[in-house]
Amino acid sequence: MVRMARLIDVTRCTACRGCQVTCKDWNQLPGEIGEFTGSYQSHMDNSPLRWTMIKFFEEEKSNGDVQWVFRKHSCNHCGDPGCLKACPNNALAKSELGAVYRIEENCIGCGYCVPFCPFDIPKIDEVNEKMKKCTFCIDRIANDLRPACEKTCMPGAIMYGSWDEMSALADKRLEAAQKRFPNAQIYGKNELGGLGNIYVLPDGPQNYELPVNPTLAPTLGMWKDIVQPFGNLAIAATLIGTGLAFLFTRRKAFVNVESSKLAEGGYHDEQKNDRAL
Amino acid sequence: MSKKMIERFSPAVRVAHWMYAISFITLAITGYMLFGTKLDWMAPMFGGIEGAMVVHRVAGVFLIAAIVLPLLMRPKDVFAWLGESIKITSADIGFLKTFPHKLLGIKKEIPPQGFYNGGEKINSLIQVVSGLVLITTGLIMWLSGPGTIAPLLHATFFVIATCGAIGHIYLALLNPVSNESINAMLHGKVSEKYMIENHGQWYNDVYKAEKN
Repeated sequence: MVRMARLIDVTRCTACRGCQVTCKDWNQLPGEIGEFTGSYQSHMDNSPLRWTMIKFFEEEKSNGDVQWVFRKHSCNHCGDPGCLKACPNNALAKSELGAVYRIEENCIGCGYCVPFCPFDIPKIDEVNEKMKKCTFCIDRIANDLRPACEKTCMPGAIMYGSWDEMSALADKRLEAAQKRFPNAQIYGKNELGGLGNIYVLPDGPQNYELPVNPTLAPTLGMWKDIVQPFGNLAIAATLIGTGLAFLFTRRKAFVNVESSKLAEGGYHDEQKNDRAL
Repeated sequence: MSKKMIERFSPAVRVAHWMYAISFITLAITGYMLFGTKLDWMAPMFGGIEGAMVVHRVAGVFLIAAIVLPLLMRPKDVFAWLGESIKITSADIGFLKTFPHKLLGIKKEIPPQGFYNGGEKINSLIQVVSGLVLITTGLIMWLSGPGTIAPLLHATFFVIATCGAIGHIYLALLNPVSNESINAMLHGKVSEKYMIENHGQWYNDVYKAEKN
């Protein structure tokens, strides 16, 4: 199977938030009334019940006008996902389609994945003790349907296809965007093994709450690659070691009893039998 | 040799020890469900691994209580134990040299030991150090989220503390050379013979003082 990707053309988004609504619709997530955010942005951040949202950014153009930029915020389905490696219970998996998804019964909402995501995507549902995030609509794309958000996007700001197709399309879109935004750039082609979301941004990623050079914490993987296997080994070795020592001491104790009994002239019942004879 | 029994651990010490031990075992079992998969068959007992995490936190509170209560109520006993444990003497080194033999149940001449022998001191220190790290990182994870370093330290010291505990349980329950000492933790008393053989230094100090 080919790795799939979404192209998120921020220069085309009109903030209709159709994707935000249709994501809730397909995934059966009830609506949440949030606090006032100070702008037209609907909520401050994603939540266990909100897997995608449009973030609003106000910028000043060179001529003094204000322009609005809208970025769809959702899981990027990294080529090298930190969350997956951080999960102690193998509750995260990566499909051949490139979707990083959660295995319901394995996830216990421990939250170990949260600090290892450079995009602050995993949200912990404290009530059900599960991590929740965008699934890349794996239930749809695995059945040759398009992701819900892409299907609903009117201005073509979200596109869906194979990673290579989207990568090529991003180059084309960039050319068009650069006419309006001289600083326009592509984000997500090289970051973390290539993201499942390739962005066309009007300006540098730092302006849109995206890390310029997303990196994974150095302690990532030490848990799974070192502490877990060697820890298991150490505990098993201790158990086996004490077990063997126990067998050894029992054998020795048995031999001691035997020899002392022999020295005394045999076992008690044997002595009795001798007398009886 | 007379069957005279000698008081070793006061009731307060024994209560603290068993509170800590029961909490520790509960914590180790429930914590291991996140660490590995070998105990997942036990999960239904706690209501799934999610339930085990709740039990883990409750047991954590009990373990902290097993440290804080003795510190508040019997600070002298606690500091006497800590003070003894950090004083590693040449007699302790001598004890540790014969430790492999002891482990295999072979009696060997040991230099006269204090109230705690070299092995008990090492065990105490393992538990004190790993206990401090486990409680600190555990509270951090509970109160402010896991972060990137706390789970790593928590897991590392879990392994150290658990290996220490397994050795401790083996020596106290199963090893024929040392398992008489379990009586000290159960009833508080150990035979005079055992004390003379295994804690000669302490026996001499106390009983010489008594005679004088």
